[in-house]
Amino acid sequence: MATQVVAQVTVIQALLIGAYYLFKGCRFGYTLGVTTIFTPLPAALWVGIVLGNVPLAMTVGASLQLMYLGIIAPGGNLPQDSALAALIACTVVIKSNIPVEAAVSLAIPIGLLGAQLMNVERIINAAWVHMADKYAEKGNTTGLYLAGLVYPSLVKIPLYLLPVALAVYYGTTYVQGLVNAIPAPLMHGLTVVGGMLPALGFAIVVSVIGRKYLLPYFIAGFFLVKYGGLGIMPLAIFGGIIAYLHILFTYKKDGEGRVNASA
Amino acid sequence: MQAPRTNDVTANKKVLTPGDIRKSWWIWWFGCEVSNSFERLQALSFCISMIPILRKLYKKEEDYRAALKRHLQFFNTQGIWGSIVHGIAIAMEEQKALGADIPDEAITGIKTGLMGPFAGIGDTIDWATWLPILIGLFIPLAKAGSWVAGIAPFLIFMAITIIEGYSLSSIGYRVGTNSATQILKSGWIQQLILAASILGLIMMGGLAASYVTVSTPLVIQTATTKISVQKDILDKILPGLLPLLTVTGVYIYLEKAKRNNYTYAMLLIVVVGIVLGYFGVL
Repeated sequence: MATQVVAQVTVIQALLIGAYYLFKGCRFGYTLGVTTIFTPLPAALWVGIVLGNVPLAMTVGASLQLMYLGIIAPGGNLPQDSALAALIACTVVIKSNIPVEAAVSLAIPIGLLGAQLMNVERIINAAWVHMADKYAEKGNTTGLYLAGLVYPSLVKIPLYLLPVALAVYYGTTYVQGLVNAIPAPLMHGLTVVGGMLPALGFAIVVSVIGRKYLLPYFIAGFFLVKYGGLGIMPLAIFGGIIAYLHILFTYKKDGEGRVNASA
Repeated sequence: MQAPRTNDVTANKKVLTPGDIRKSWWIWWFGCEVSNSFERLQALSFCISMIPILRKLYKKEEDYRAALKRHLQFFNTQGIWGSIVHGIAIAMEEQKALGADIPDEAITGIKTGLMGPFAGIGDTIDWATWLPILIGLFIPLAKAGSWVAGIAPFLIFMAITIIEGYSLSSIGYRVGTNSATQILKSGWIQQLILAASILGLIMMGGLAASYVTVSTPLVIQTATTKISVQKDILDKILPGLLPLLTVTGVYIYLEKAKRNNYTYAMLLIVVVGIVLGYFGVL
């Protein structure tokens, strides 16, 4: 991939990619907007559409998705921003032809940075609550709607749209130079990292589910696929049946069961 | 958790229609994270969602203002399962407006008492189990570059959770405080969580087998032949041993370390992967 000419991202494309980050930042609709924080796949699709290479973008998104699978924000504290990571990584891969594995590794610091941006926003948002206190005092209903939905969204334009549009517009060309400067053994190391990182997503989900006595089911799923070569859909069907059988055999008829005691 | 103190004298009288509750719930679903702040988290969103309810219940301006202020206090839950608390708050406000003796602290106490447990259930069921399972089903399509994976799992997830949240809100409104505490302990929720956990674990195991790729290029040189550690030894003993060990290692790290230490785990993988890759071990 030595001397590939890097295609520049246009202003419109950069703004459109920034607009997705604004949409994600607004979090309109709990299981619509908040979902876009936790998953890189819609972000990848969007970048693919904007830059005209959906298949490549989705491949990058899939690799990132495995790493971020199971990342949630308990109490609203987000550890990693997978949407920002996807927007930048997909743009870089499409525009500068760097290997997907390397892009996944590059996405990590970007995901960290995005989470900090959300912290800044939530500090700013305290202002709207104070404003709402005054509106409630006066019974100003319109003011409350503005403080709760409109003002926080307006602030997100400079906070989310602009930095991402600028980063995408100016940053992409530098990344290839950076990647070209990486020596071969280190590049191999990054590829190894790319293969290992999905382990994190699965480990997080297992850890969040948190029932250690159920861990054999994870092992069962692993070897059903390794030895049996089962696809994901048949695995889900068998998994559903196994879950049903487990409950059938362990619960007493009144619904009070062992799980309450062991959970 | 506070003792339930709902007064049932006015339980038969209703002012609110199902339409009012539906409207309030949609405002809640749409805006519950828009103004999330460090200071009071979802307080402002909760207050806004209550506006149509409070406006209808409290004709006297000072009662309306007092009610708005009541719902600007600290609140944070999971938007879907927390809807049950939303429904309960609506029911309590209705009874209060109808003259039941419900002090402000009772409403706030019930809200803060129930928001945590239901958020825990919602995070576990919706975010940590159903969403990863749904995404997992579409990962093969995403790997193949299909646009469908960028939209289908999320539309399905949204449809399921909207039905879920709206139903829970209605349940909360109907059953009130006493029964909500019962729901937390009831068998069917525990069964649902257990079933979701088992399905989730099996799916995660299968996905890990497909998508965690760790192998070693090490070769043992003997006098006559070269023996590949991966192909000739590991794959013959237990295929997938290295990926399984990797997931196990990360899992043990997450369990030993304090909660939410995802970032350190990620950095650790990067360092270990680069070092082992650099020296040709992996």
